[in-house]
Amino acid sequence: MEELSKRYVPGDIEDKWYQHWMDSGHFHSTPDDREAFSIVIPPPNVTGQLHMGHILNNTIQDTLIRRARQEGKNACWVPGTDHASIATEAKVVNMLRERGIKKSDLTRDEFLGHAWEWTEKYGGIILHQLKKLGASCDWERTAFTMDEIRSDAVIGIFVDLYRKGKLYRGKRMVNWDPAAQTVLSNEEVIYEEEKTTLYKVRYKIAGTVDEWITIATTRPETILGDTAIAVHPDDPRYTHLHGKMAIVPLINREVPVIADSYVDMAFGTGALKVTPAHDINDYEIGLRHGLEVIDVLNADGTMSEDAQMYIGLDRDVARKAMFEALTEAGQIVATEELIHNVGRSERTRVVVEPRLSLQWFVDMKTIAEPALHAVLENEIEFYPENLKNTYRHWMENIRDWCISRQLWWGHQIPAWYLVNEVAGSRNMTDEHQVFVGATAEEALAEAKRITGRGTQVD
Amino acid sequence: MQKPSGSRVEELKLTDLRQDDDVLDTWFSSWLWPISVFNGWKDQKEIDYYYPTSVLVTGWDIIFLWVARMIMAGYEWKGEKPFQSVYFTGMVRDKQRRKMSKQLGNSPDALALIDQFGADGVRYGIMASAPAGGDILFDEKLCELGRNFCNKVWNALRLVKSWQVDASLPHDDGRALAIQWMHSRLNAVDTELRRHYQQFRLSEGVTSLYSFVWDDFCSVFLEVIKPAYGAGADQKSYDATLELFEEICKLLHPYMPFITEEIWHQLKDRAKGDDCMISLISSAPGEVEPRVMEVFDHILTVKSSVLELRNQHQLSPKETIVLVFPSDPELVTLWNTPGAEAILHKLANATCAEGIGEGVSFLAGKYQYHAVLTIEVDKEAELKRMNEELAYYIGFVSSVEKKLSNEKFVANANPEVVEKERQKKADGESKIEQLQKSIASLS
Repeated sequence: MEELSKRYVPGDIEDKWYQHWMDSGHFHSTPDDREAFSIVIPPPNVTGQLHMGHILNNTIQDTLIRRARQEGKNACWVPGTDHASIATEAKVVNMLRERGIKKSDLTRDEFLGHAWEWTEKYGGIILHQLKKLGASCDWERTAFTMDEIRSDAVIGIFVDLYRKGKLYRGKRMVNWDPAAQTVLSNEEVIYEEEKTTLYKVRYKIAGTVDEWITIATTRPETILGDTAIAVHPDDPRYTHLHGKMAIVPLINREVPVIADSYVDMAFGTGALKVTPAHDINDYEIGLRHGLEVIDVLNADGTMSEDAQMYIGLDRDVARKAMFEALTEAGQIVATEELIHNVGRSERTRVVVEPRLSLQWFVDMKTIAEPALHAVLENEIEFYPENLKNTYRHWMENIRDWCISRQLWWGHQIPAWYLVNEVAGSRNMTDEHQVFVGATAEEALAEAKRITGRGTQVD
Repeated sequence: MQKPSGSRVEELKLTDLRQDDDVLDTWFSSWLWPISVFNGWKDQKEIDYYYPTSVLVTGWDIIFLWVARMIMAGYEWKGEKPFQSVYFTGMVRDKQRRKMSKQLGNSPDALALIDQFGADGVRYGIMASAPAGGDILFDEKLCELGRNFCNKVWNALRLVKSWQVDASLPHDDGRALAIQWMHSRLNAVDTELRRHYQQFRLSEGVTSLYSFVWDDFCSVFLEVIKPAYGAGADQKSYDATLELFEEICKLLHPYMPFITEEIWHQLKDRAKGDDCMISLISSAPGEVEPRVMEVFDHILTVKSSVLELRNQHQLSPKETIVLVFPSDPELVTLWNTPGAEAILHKLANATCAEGIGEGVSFLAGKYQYHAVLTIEVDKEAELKRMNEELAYYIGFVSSVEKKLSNEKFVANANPEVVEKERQKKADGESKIEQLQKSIASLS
């Protein structure tokens, strides 16, 4: 036998034994008569790099799987990677930008070509790094969330949920770039402090001669979309106004004064104008109080028909016009300078508009039920146990899951619309007829069935 | 649906349809993972065999994004849970408790760490500090500890490999006792480890293995078992050592797979396929012999006292110390155990005999020993030391008494804990008694 080195030199033996284990097939598992012990890896991002979190997590898994193997169980640790839609798409967009290519100049297919190229180049590096750590994964089973089997599964369950009535389309606030006329992901919005004007505007209380409530806003043009005034329920200044109606200036719409604890008593006057179509927080308040949503902006950032005034005028121009009209009507109480965070489009630099758009949601209520009980009744055990409380709280208050993303890298939603209805730019507020199917052909058959425009028989 | 009669409606074609532009949330594929990796909608044999999976190991920060949704998908499509248990890991943080991130630049390069400390060193480092759910304050020193541990085990291998078997040598009592003790200790650790695994207490598991291997196997067992300088090893001791080392490799393997595989193959020539990685552990742990444990524990206690004494009086390790123990029947039986004295001699270079105490006294457990020292004892210093010790034990006993007189504690605490407190009190009282005697005899 060879002389043993004075010190333990890991580099001398690690690769040798790893290769030996692989060659001996020790990591591979197939079903047999033994008891199974299986672990699925939390799939790391396909283009990710090994970090300390991975080391921790995978050392634990490897320790458990190796121990199970020694206990005589049929141990199977399935490795794989995750396509990580947002992260990977952002990396590809950056890479393209460095090469002087803009995503907006590419077709979807061209962009996906680059994304796959990137994935093939960097994908799997992290799996190789896991081998360095000694991870005894069954590499023959390596899965990727966008490979054929996994993609088929995703599309299959989308269709299944839709047919079960557990999937629906609904409106949701997204980041809208009025110049590019596209939805932006949060990562594409840059927030910076900017100087702006805060306008204090008074609204008359309906049925009174001279009683007013004053709100503060940086966007007077959206007053035209107001559907409530909100105050904090504990604010003594406004208790007497709960349930009264206020009159929206210039257009004389009567809107309720509502109490909602979202309102910050210390900000401005403590009274908030609520414009559900143009602010995410207002939208949430609107949902809680069943308020009407009046969208006063068009997709290009001009005032819409529903605004009733300044129709077709750009939002910035409309703001100035509103200020003048309000001043003339005696409803401006004060103006002051304010530094606040403004979100601008990374690409066009215009101010991003919160905008309601149609998104896909999973109806979680019925799905959550058995999953909640499984954990509460220890059908599934949690270590440490105290996380059961966190779990229960979330599951009992579960909200529907928005599953659509305005990205290209990922599983394209298997829903189809009639071309003539979506001609031109995408009208975000229209409800289309939807045809869901695992393939375009299936969707076509569905469309024929629903519209009656099937095969003609003479 | 009815078609309007008399009019021809144009038949829909693929080109009349346009697919939704958007893609699905990534978690919409991840929530199917425990089913989809086994091709669970198509391959019945695979999914039936591997599903539900045994355990999921993930960070608590994605309990909603991922864990909850997988559970929901499991029941929705398989009518069953996706995993038996979930082991939630904490976040890895730096020494200032900041979450490690690329932005902060406080995350060490994982591969560089592996290069520097070896995969096993890094694995040890991270596991030793990773209680389930608790955050990990990562410090490279832990990996260094892991690397040092590897070196310790490696040196043990080098030592064992340097032995030549001399078939003519008898197997002496000391070594026989040490082997018995090592087996018992191994079985005790094995039992403990099984409990830890069941509760996913991997951190506790690896630290108990660490102290077993470092303290018991390397520092005690190998010291007793190793051949005298220039001599060979007897066959029985050699075989037993290899067997024990092999068992240690098995237990340590899941934590430190590389070095244990290497040692496994260094210990013996192996047939093809006889790898540590697929070695089987017994279905139940072996027996622990309480009597052997008791005898050995006492020897180790006496050994520590002797080391302390040497430090105190600056005695050379080469100088054999003669100990006298009182004529307590239990103690007499204990030291009559074949091999006991030989072990003490090896570990502490001390001999002991029953008799009346003269010289410097010390306590080992509840017994008072005397060391017959050839040096002049500084009476004053010795009295001062003993009085200090006495004051300490009086305070100690009174604090335990306080605890025990707390009705709430006695009523609510685990009976084992209460029993431990009572034992502490009894031990303390016996030490006080011994010290008072010694002080009286000196002054």
